[in-house]
Amino acid sequence: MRLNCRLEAAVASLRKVPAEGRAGGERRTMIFTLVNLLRNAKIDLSNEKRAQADVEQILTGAGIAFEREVRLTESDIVDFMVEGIGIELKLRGARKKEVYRQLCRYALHPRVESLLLASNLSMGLPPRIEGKDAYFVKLGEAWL
Amino acid sequence: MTRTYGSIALSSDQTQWIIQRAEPHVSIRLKQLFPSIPKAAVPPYFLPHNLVTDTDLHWFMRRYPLKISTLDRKMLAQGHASFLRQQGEMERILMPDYAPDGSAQLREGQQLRPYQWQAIEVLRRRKRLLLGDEGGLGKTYTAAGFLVTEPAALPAAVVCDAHMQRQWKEKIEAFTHLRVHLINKGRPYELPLADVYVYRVSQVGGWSDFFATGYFKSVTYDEPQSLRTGSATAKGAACKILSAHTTYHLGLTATPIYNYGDEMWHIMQFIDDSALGQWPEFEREWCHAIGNGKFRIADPKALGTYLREQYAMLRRLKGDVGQQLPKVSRIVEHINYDEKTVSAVEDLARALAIKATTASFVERGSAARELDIMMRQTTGVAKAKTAAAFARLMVEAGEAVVLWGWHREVYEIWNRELADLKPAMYTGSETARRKEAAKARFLSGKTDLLIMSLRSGAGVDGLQHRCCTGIFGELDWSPGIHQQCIWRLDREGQTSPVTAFFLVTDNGSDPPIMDVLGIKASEAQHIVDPHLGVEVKENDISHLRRLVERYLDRKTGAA
Repeated sequence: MRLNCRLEAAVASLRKVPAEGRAGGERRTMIFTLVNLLRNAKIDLSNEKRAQADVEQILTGAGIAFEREVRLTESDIVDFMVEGIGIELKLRGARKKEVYRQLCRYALHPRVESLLLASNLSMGLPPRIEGKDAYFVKLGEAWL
Repeated sequence: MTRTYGSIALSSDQTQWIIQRAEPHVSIRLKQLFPSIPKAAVPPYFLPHNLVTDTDLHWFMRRYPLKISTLDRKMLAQGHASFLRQQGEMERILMPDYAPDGSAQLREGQQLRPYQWQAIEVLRRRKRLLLGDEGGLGKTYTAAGFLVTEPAALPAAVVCDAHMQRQWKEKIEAFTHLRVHLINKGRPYELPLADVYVYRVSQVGGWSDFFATGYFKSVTYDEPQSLRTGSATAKGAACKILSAHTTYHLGLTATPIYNYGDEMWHIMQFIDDSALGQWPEFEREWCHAIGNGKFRIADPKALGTYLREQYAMLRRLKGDVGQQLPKVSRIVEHINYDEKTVSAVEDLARALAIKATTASFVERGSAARELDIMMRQTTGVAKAKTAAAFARLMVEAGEAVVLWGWHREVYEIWNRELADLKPAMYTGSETARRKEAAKARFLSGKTDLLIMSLRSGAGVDGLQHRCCTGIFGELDWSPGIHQQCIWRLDREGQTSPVTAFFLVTDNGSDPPIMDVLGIKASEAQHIVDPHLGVEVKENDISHLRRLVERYLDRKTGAA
C-alpha cells in the first residue's frame, strides 16, 4: 500500500538517508530541483503569459540560469531551457494530443536532452519521448 | 455668458439628478460616461445623487456646462468636496500609524485592536464595506465594535449560516452590552426589544415585507458567499430588500469567492451595488465567458486592486497586523484506492458518459451532473478505508484530528472503521444542537476524532484550542471551502504549527477536481490579494515525521 510506502519513506528519512545522492547525474539532480520548485509554487493559472512570468520569477529567485523562448525550429519555440532541459508550460484549454506531438518535435532537437512539461491538464507522459527523458509536473497541486 | 449644452436639476426629494435636456452629441457623451442611462433613452435622464456621481457630474460639467440653479450647483459642489474629503480621510485611516480617536462601550477587559478600528471607521464613513480580513483576525468582533460605536446602526440585522447563529450571540454578548435576539422562525413575529437580531440565511426569505419597513438600520452579512447565486433565489431577493432599506452594509468573509471571480459581482450587489456597476457592463469589461453560463475574470489582479482603491473591500493578512501564528503546512498525500469499488460502478459510469456526450441537450446535462456526483462519491468511497487508516495513525500517535468529508457513504465507512475511536460527527445530517454537542465532546477530550462536513464548518470557533491536524478525506470543488476548513485550526489561540493533509488518488474524480481547484484558487487569490508575488508553498514534513516517530514508539512500546 502506498500509505505504507510513505511511512517507510518517512522512517527512512529519519535514518538520514540522503535523498539526492540516489538521483545520480547532475542533470537529474537539476530536474528534481525544478520539479520541486514548480510543484510547490503557486503559479498564476489565469493565462500562459502570466504563468510564464511567474516561472521566470521563481527560477531567478532560485538562482537557476535559464534561457527564455528558445527557438528550436522554424515553428517550435520552447518556453524555457535550463541546461539541457526543455521546460514547456501548458494550461488547461490546450489539446493534450497537440501538446504531446509538440513535445515529440522538441525531443528530436539535439539541444534538448530531457523534457519537463508543467501543466494543469490531467495528463501523463511516457517516461521517454523519442529517446529523451520526459517529466511531468502538475501545477494545480500547489493551490490546494 | 457661458454656453450651456442642456439643463440639470435635483429632484424634489433630493435623491436624484434629473437631466431634463441635453444636446444630442452631449447625450452621447453622457451615456458613455454613465452606463446606467440606457442607450436608447431620451431626456430626461435620471442619475443618483451620491458622492461618486456628484464628482463625475462635476467633472463632466466643466467640459459641457449644463444649466443649473445656484442652489443645485452648491449641492453638486458639496457632494464633490465631500468625496475628496472622504478619500483623504480613508487614506489617513488606513495609514499604518493610525491612532483611533473613537471610543467604544465594551465589556470590561475587552478592547478593539487598531486594525479593527480602521475597518470600523471606514465603514462609518463609506457605509458599505466588504471586510475580507484573513480568517482568525476577529471579523465578528469588528462588526460588534462597529454596532457599539455607531448608534445610527441600531437596531441591526445580522444574516449568517445556521450553525453560526448561536456563536454570534455568545460573541457579541461577551464583548459588548448589546442585547441580542436570535430569530427562530422563517416568518415575521413580534420581535422582543433588542439591539441586534441574528437571522439564519435560510430564514430571511419570509421576512421581506418586514425588511421593507426599514426597521433595521444596518445589516451585516456573515459569509455572504452563500448569496453568490444572486438575487434570483428567495434568500437573495429578501437580502436585496434588506440592503435597500438599511443605511450600513457590512460583509464579512475571508473567502468571498468560492468558484470563479464573477461571484464577486453577485456578492457586491448586497453590499455595495454601485461598486461594480450593472451586470452587462461588468461582464463586458471584466469577464470572459467559459461556457455553461460561467465566467472567469480576465484580469483578476486589476479587479482586486480596483476594489481596494474604492475602499469597497478591506483585507489584511495576519502578517499585515503583526500576528505571528505558526505556519500552516499543506501536504498532498497520494494514496491508494480500492479498485473493487471503482470497477463496480465503471459500467454505469461508462453508460452515463456516453449519454453525457451523445444524448439530447437536457439529457446531456443531467447525465453529466449524475456522472459527476457518482464519480465524486465513488472516489470518496474508494479511498475511505485508506483515509480512515491515515486518521487512525494520527490519533494513535496521540494527536487530536479533524477529518473532513462530504458523502454519507464515506462517513459510514469511517464510522465503521474507526468505531473504537468513537468519532464525533459534525456534518449535514446533524441538527445545530447535535453539532454543538459533538463539538463539545471533541473539545473536552472525550474523543480525539472529529468527522466534519467540508461545508458545515465556516466560521466555527474553538477547535484551534484542541487540535492542529486536519485531514481532507474528500475534495471539494471550491478552494475557498478547503481554506475555510483549515482556518478552523489556523486561527487565534492556536499554539502549534497546523498541518493539513490532502489525501488524493491518481484516479477517479480527484485529478480533474485538482485541475479546476488550481484555476479557481489562482483567480480568487489574485482578486483578494492582488499584490502578493509568487508564493512557494512550504512543505514542512517535520510535523509528520514527529508523528510517525511517536506512533512507532507507541507501537514498539506496546509490543
